[in-house]
Amino acid sequence: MLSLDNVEVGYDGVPALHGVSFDIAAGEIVTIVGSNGAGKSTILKTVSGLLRPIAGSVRFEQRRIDGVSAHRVVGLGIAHVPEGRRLFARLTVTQNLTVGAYTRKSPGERSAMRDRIFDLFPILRDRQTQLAGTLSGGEQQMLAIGRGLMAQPRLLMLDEPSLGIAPRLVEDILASLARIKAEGATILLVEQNVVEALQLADRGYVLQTGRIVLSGTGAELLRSDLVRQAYLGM
Amino acid sequence: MPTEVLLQAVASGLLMGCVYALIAVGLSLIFGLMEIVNFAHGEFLMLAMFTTFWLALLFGIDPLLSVPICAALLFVLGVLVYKGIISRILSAPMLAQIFATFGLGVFLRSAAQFFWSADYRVVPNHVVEGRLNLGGLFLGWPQVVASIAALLAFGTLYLFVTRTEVGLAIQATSEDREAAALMGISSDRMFMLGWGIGSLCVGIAGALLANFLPIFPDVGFLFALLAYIAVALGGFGSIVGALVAGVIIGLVEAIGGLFWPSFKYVAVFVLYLMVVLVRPQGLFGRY
Repeated sequence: MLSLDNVEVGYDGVPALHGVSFDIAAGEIVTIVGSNGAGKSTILKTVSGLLRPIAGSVRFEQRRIDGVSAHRVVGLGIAHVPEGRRLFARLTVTQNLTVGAYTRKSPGERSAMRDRIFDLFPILRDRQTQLAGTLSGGEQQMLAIGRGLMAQPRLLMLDEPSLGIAPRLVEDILASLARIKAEGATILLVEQNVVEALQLADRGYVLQTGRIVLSGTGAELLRSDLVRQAYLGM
Repeated sequence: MPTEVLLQAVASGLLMGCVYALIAVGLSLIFGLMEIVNFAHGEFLMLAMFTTFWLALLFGIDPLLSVPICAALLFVLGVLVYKGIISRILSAPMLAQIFATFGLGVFLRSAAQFFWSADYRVVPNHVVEGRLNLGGLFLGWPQVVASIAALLAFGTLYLFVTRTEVGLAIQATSEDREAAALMGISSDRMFMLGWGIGSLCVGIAGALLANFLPIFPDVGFLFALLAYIAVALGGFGSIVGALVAGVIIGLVEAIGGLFWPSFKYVAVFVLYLMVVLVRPQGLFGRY
């Protein structure tokens, strides 16, 4: 469904990704784990068009999308839930969801999608008229995921959805990803919460300083020496 | 001082304040969207006033009828200025951004002087004339009409920004243009629209002011200055703030004029200084 081939990305000439290649098949949850600054967010930003690769290619459903502007990538079926949530704080919960559906104009589809999101995160139903900036961290993350889902993506990319959220809510949010997958979406998850992410994922990649150093199923990676030593401190 | 005189000043201050608010909100909308101050805003107003003047003189079109014409023309001007100048300096240093719009203002003012001379002009025979007697309170009909029309325009803008999907997209872009792009919103299109709508507001204000004020190349200066103050006073990017601040400035100007006619703007600036000292983000500001 999504494939990156030898992608190189740099910020102002400083390279951040050195020839990253990986694939995601439809219906999978794939996670990219790695420490701060390894380039995890850079991968997502490159797929969603916020960054342009210097070399290599990004293909989505056989179509080359590197170089396509960010505001057009959503319409192709990729939603990016960015790090730090980046909600529109002065808009209400409902308005944030509406903006999320900017590329999906049909009112019927929109209200059906909203209902699905309220089923997934019931608390948002009670918060509909509240300004997004007044929600708790966990609620904001749920809204950010919901806002991404409103575009009805076939590929949902999430950047650190557990960052700064109470541990109890982290489980809820990660559990919701399993439900989103069951409803037919493909998920690319970037996480520092290595254990939970690898337990949830079908497959995973370990990223270190802009290179993929290890790949395998979630269970394989959890058993690997590299992951156990570098990320689990065992 | 007799109460009637004070009431009279309050009433005319309120009327002018509504027009100031409409001028200010155009500026505020553009700033809130992209953090660029349009230093040619006053010249846009001047162009709208001259357009109204020439339409009246050459084609006998009443200023009231030129309101929609000026709105449309200034919308187009705003879009052209964005496409031709602003979109090229979006990532330029702030000084370059200031000089771009400041230079545009100087250019427009000088061009107006060159083509139309520095003479004061007055729109000949308009439909709306005379005064309204409100129980001893006399209000010029042109001013009354201008303030009502300005309020209507203001209300329409408010509903557009807060109730329509494009309005939400504009708000989303002004909060976080990268996140908005991830939703499928092109910031370039929103900026273009913002310049169009911001200029449209000042176009409406210009046509309304041409009904009762003399028109000359420098006419925009004072209005633009008051609009900058209104934007800073109300809070950068706040629509409601622009309305409240516009009306406050109108009131302070009119009441200050009673006590101290030649220094009435001193009162406005002192008020502004007091507000920014106590509340630098302005009354409704978020910065």
